[in-house]
Amino acid sequence: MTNGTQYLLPPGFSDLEPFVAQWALAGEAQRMHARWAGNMDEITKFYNVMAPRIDTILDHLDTFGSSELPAAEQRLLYLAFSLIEVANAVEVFSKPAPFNAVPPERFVPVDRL
Amino acid sequence: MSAEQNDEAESYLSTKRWFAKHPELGSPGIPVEPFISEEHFALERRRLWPHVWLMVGRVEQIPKPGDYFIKEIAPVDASLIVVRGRDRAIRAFHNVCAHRGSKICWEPSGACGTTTAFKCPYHGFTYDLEGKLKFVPDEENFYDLDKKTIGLTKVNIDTWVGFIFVHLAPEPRETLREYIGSIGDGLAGYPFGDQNHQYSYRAVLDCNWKLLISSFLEGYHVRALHAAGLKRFVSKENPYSHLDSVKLTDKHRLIALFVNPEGLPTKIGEIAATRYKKSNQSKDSAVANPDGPPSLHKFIIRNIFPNFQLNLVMGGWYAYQFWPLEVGKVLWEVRMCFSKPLNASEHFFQYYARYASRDNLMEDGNVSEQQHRALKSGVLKKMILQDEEIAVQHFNKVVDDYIRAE
Repeated sequence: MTNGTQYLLPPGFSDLEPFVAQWALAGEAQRMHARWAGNMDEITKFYNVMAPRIDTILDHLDTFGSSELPAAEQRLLYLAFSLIEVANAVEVFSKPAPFNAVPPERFVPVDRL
Repeated sequence: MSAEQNDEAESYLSTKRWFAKHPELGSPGIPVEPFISEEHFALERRRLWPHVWLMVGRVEQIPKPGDYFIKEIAPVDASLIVVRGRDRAIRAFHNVCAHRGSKICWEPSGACGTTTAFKCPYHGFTYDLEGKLKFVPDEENFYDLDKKTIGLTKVNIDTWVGFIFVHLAPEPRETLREYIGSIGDGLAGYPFGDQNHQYSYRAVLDCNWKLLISSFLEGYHVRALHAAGLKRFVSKENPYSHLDSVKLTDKHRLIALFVNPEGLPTKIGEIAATRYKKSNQSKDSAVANPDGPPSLHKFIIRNIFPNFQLNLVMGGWYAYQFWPLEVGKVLWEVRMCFSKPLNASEHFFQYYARYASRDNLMEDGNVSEQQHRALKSGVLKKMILQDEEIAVQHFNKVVDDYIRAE
């Protein structure tokens, strides 16, 4: 099937669909919370699947340039952002949160200052 | 090893480089009292905040006549309307109605008509974009009301490289240009306005504003506090992140943090940076940066007194501001700005860049809170500073200069 709206993600990325519910989050605050609240097994599994695919993911999304993304591609972009959110957890801290940091509910993304 | 590399290695290996160059700062060490004392906080309200130029926003926030935003200046309990006039000039007024002092604008920003402009929600007094009182409901019931002499209270305002500054004194001792001085050198051509795609954060922390600012004025803490996340700021030759350079003016500071050219980025960070470097935007930004290509060999922090920190980074700029709410509470505003991302890869890079900073900022915020809690005990009377903490000394001395001035 090539009708993207029937699937959560674009064709070729259906293997990532199990991650959509937890990680394809629209807001930065939501993604921050998902990282801090996640357990390392879930985080590591997500990272290990996403990291080798990220170049392919971005190559596909880049074809849209600066146009608004269709819903399936938008979810894919949110998955890519969540990969960034968990990158430090896996590569730097070996735990969900930074060491001794202010928790995310106190460092709040805002639309504008 | 080339001669240039040898000089850098030698300079990092040497110690006690900075205080010797600045005898006016005295010997290293600063008192604790200004960070925890209510009396000092009260003195800052009277002797510091009304006497400095304060950055409140950017010209791009109010592109059209009638556009305005409100800025709260917490340390002096002021609320300011910053508005673009019909003549395109930018003006600032106290957000206080001339009638009975109600706050006029309650929304953080907006676009009002070019004729009637601001209408007070309490009784309907109406002012134009130049602050003149235009309409008073039931005017005949006032005694000797001269609309020509009543209006919004003006505040001094000026811009520098597109940043809007206000000054609360009736007559500032210095113009904005004089105030900025040489710390602004080289920034006139930087495309701040083009890099207007903004991500912002706000945090309220339980620490004195000067403690939090001081945490950004040295690289000495990087090895310990950011051991995991900022490995690229140390190296075998430079294990304690000795600064690349220091510039101190009469009020402001610039420090260049060392960046290890052989430091390995994280795997995801490397992917993000590689994809960004292929984009046209990376070439434009590198050319305009007066400090040279960012994050190759040094990371420049400019601290513009009293509470505006400006960092130029790869593809963008960050601005941090620190507004004291109480002696032990600060409102921290973080702005991270880039050119509008033209595709997913650029979006990905920008997200990674600010995310990588965000983890470290959250560590800085936490340690400042812990530090304030410990200082409140009163046990420590004086902070011992080392040579690489000279910018901490300088900043706090400039505060002290204002406190002592008559």
